[in-house]
Amino acid sequence: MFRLLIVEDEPATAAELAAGLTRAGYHTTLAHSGDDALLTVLGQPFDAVVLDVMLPGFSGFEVVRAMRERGCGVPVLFLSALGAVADRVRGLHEGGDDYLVKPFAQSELQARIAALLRRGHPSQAAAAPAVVQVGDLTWDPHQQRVTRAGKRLDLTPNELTLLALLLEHRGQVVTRSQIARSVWQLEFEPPGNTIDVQVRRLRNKVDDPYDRKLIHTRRGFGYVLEDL
Amino acid sequence: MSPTRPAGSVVRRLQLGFFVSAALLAGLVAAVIEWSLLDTLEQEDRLLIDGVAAELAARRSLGQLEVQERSLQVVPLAWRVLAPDGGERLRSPGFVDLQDLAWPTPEQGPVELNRGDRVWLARAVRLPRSQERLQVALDRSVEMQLLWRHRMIVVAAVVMGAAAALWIGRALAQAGLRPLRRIAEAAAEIGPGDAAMRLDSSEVPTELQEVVGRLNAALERLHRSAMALDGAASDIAHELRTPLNLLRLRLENLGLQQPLPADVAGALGDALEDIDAMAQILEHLLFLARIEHGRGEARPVAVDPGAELRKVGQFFAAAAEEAGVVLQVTAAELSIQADPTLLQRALHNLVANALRHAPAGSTVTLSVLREGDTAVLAVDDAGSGLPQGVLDRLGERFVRSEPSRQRATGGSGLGLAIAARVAEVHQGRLAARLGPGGHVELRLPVTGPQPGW
Repeated sequence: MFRLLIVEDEPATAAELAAGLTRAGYHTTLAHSGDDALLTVLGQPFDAVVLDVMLPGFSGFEVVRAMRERGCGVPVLFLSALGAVADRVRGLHEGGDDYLVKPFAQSELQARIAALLRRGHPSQAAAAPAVVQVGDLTWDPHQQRVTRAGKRLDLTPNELTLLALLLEHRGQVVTRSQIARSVWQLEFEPPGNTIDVQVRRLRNKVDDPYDRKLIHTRRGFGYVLEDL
Repeated sequence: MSPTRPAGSVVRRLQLGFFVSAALLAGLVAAVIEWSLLDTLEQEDRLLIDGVAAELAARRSLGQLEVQERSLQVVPLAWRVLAPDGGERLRSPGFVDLQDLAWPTPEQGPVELNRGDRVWLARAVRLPRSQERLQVALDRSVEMQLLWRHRMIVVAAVVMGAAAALWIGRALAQAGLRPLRRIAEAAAEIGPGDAAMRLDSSEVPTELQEVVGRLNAALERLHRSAMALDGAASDIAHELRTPLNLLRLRLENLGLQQPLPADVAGALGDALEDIDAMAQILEHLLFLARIEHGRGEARPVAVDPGAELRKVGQFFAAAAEEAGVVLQVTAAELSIQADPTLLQRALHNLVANALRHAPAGSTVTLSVLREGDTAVLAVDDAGSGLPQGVLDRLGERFVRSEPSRQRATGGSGLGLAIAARVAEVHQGRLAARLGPGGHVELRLPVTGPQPGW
């Protein structure tokens, strides 16, 4: 079980974060100030730190700097209300590993934490992606080929990228902003409902001709690919 | 609003003032000198003719007068002696054509007489011990010619001095204004991003110190308000995003903890969507606030606008297909200095607008072409186009072509504002044409944003 340190000064937010991450299978520890966070992270082993930037005492940036100066290399994910490019750049420059702007979806937070943990365990990250199967949908990443019930699906490159993202996170909710970032490399949330349309058209090809639906909408959360 | 008319050139006015006062002064001095010279010469001549008359009168006999005549030939004199009855007794050879002039009586002083182009100073005296009169005239013509020549020289000197004053005045005025130009140049360098900058008052003359001081004070106030706004933007971000985040976490946990009845789950999903919509508007407003205060968002690199347009085209391909609209990209080969993320953001908003207004079966065209040093990235649709009301306020926040504020049709009302700010950060602008047919373009200099942004 991975151990997470959650540093958040606002008690209600901290409690909700902890509840969500505990439910997702993490062992969580809470800290409510910068000094508190530094003492805790240097005193106990953690696999990752979820760190609010605006904290009483040391700021999140200062906590990371102090951690790195003391040789503590635990991956850090910043949570911040500040979303300017300059703020993100600063966060990464100070030694953070990722930066998530509030408000965010918990599924995205969890996906980012999972990515940080994978980065910390190269054996897992390097594992060559084998053929993935969900229900009667088969994805062969090497041949860029998707078949359903033995029939090859005719997908555009972008549809394939989108489906691959959903397949990589099969069983987990993928948000619109994750799609915007992973499929389109957009550093902003695109206006309008274009991403919903993209998923809808993918679904037309993947699900419409078949009785068993694999791509599901979780309204308010995002999209999930799973064989229910 | 009436156009303001400039109050004219300061250099020109100073120059003119310098010229006029120099010309007046020189003219006055010349006139005084001229008058006093004239007066002095006339006094001298009067003394001379009095002396000559007295001298001549003392020599009574004709022989004596003839001797005198010869000795006086250095002075251009003419004289005659008149009997009491007016008959002429004696005349000098030069006394030819003066007899019919209005000679003064012996009681009068010397009088000026004119004959042809010659001027005489005439005097009459009564000879002692007889009733005879002596008339003497001094020829002043040569003197007058010299005086005239002198006057010409003085006038020429005055004119030349005035001309020099014109030139010197200009040079002085320009030199005097040079510190002002330096201040203007320094002020021109100040962009929205560096309100912390101050003008250097060290090399500024005393008279302009106050101006610089006041400009710096204004900059200081601007800087403080910019800081306050900047702070306000961060504060708003924190104050609104923190509770929005908590709300989202709570609702998510509520939905994920236990299975909910379908209607409750649906309402919860709607609420989460509303939170995301709110967060997006907030993000757009903060983006606008940041970009308007020049908080270094732009990171320009060499960008191929055509490639960016194709990327945007691909992103909107699914949406276009679903709307029954053909999305076409025509791009000239071009390289500009731009921030790709900002450019994408602007284009996404423009294309989303176009697709919203394009009727089914029509074509939306994304194009890029070069006009001189400007790259024109245009989005055209066959919709009704932007109404005049929107064109007049192009780039302002919350200006929509539809009166309805429904997001489904009207958009957030921030898309054009974002595109306009992005264009401005790149030293370009957003332009649009009146319908029918939507046409919006980003006009960006190929050189990209100036440093400081």
